[in-house]
Amino acid sequence: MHIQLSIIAGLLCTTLAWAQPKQEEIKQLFAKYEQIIDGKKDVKVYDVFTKKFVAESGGEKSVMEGWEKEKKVSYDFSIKPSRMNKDMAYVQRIPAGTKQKPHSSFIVVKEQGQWRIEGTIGDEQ
Amino acid sequence: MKKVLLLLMMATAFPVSAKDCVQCVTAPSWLTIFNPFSLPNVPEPEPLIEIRTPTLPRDAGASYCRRNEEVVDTIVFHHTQTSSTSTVQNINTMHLDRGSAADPWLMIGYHYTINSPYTGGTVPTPVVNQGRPFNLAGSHAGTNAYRAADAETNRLMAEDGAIRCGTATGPLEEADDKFRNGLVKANYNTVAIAVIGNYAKRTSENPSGWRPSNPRYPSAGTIEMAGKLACELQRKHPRLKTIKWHSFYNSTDCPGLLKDRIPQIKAVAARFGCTFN
Repeated sequence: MHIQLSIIAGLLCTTLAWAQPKQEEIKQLFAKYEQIIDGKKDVKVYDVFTKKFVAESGGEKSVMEGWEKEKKVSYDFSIKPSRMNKDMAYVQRIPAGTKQKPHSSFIVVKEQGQWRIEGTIGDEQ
Repeated sequence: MKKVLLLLMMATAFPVSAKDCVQCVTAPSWLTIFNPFSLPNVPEPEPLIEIRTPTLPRDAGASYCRRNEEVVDTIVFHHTQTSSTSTVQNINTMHLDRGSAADPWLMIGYHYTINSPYTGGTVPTPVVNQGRPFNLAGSHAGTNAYRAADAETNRLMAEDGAIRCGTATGPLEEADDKFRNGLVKANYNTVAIAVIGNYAKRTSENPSGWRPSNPRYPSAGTIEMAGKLACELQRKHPRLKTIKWHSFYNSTDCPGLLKDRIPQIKAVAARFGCTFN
């Protein structure tokens, strides 16, 4: 009985580990995001954002345009997989070398096998 | 005669309704009518707004704080910084989800949410939902946010039993973080109202915010609902006399342009006889 439970628990953990976004995947996603902010036309909006996000933002053009210049900062990423949805995770961008806690998280979801930004949520406690 | 007098005195001193005690002999109606000490039956005012109370799942392993409702003197406005089509159930799920096995979150951190379409839109349907119950401290202003409070709030907070914290499985104990340097912990003496949506400017941290060419203010309907809700809460909790917003407590963009509409929210509440600082 114990062995069976251990196997089930092991399988569950492995499944969860597979579902979690890897640091590298998130880094790549947010590198593309930065390119959109910088107005680079060679990045596709749907490679960065989910269809839902684009639709609710008023379409591709609306997502691409109107970004204000910000000081460039390098970030570390804190990734927290959703406990309820294996295709969802919360990502916090923390300015590298600081312990500055952001007041919101990015919601990333898996769409067509790739991680995309779905939106944000304020998560101040 | 003595018996009647004794009965009369007892009924005045210990009024008992049939609902409270099924075995008790209730005082006859003529006693109530002629009781010189009874107060006239004042009808409760019609509620200004319907507040829905959906059943929201909680994490039984999470810690929470039960509070004396009297300590609550301030309403804090937030926006959720989510899509405007999110629901109270979505926010609750996400707040539960943001916790971990080591540090679980009880449930949604806000006490009330207002669903309301952006200006010019028709979706979602405007509605007020109860989130975290009023008698539980919220998780919204910031764990380390402390602010000055009036003498009465300080007195009530200092009382034993004002804020009792623990988990569902263990005993609740008096909170030891009610005060810091003479200031009161904001999550304890405030009630959180979150307008669902995103009213902050678009930045790299907030991609669904409004663009500079098109600022997004809460609609007139949202302001009306927020004002009515504030007034309804003050009617039930007369010590609620102040309205603040998230960025008053913390360095945050929340609640975006909703902050600029606080005077209008107070004006709506004033129309229904409520006054806020």
